[in-house]
Amino acid sequence: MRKKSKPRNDKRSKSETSSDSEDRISKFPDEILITIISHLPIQEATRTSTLSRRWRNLWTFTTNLDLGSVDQVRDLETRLGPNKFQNCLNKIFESLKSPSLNRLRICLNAINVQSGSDFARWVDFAIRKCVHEFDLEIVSSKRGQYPYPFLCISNFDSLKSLSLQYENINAKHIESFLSSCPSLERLCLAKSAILSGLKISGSSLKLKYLEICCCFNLNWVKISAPNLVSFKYWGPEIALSLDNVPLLSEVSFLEAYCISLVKHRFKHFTCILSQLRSLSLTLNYPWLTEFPKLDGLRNLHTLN
Amino acid sequence: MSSSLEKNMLILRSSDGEEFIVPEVVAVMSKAIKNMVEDECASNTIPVPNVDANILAMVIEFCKKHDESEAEAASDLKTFDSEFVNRGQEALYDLITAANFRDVKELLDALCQNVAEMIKGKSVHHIRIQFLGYQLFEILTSNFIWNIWCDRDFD
Repeated sequence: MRKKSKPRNDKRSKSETSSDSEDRISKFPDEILITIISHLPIQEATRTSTLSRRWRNLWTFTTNLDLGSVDQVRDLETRLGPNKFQNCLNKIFESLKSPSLNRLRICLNAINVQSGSDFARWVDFAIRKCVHEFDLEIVSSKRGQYPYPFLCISNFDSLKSLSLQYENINAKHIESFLSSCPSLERLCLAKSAILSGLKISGSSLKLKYLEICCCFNLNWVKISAPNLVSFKYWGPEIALSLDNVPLLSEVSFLEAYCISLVKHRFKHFTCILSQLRSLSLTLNYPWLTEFPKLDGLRNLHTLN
Repeated sequence: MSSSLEKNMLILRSSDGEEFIVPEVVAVMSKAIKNMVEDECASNTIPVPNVDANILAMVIEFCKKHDESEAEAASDLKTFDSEFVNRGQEALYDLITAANFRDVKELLDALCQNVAEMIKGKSVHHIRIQFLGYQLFEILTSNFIWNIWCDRDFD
């Protein structure tokens, strides 16, 4: 251990850090500082521009644009007012110099989404910045007609992961979306109120992870995805059909659907039981005394 | 030593001369070492200058875990990562330097995330003093203008 114990006559109250480690961050090359900044939410990332002259423009090379949670965005918006808030977003979008973004996370309140052009702008931005991981969450206090955000995309090659929380997404949107994102590996759908049935199929689908949660009007789901590895479902009882899923090895079910599975003794599941490595069921019903025998769980490693 | 070496094993020698026997698959998680191996300019023993035994052992521990757990659940690995990087600033910076120099992307990313966590939520004064080695009087005097800036959010 090397330790310099040079006495310093500064007035630091606490020295929780050894005295020679303090300025080491400044000695790192820009790339490391940018990697650090890329792990900060954008509000904090932009604030680093005031640290010193060297840091002034570093944040514009961030590879992660995370606007923070819905609450944080709402706070900021009430503090700045809608116009200033919009200017702020525009400024950030314009300032970004990084040619591609690993992650773009936008959480917004639907009340502020006045027209489809807002969506179009963000999606356009995401495509231009070759986003790999796109989280879009739109929350609304009451149901209404909000525009569908992906109407205009034709080719979103860079996208690997999409998380979509929005009431107004239906099956048609998702299908057309899947066909325009050829590299998509992870899809998470949540809180759609109008989604009643969902078909995810295609021999060229790269999809590996699929998560569907809190879509309370969902009745049926048909999945045929040759590369699917993991499937998570949390929501009401549905008719689930799994077909052509040779790689599926992790399955996780929560609550309502679990009960129906147990009641029907995993009837529709027998064909894939043998390939599962991980099965997770979350049940919270004390009256459920009998748990069916699961035959054929040969490869199971974890059972929760 | 190298005669008794199993196939697909490499020896890494730290800056202070200690040697570590490491499976090749683990060692090549460092892009720098991978390039050396691919170009066949590496003998069995690969010197790792600028990285001492202490830090090298940590880097190897990280790479081993990541190599083993490819099949394991991603959440386990995340827990391991967050425990692994939870160290004092001194070790953290040594690790970052090593990970950057040896080009171990996953490690560098996990470490930088940890630094970001430490910075998160702190005021600009605090970051300057704790992380950038500013002295309190510098902040109070020469950077007065900046201080007015830094309490404002991005606008």
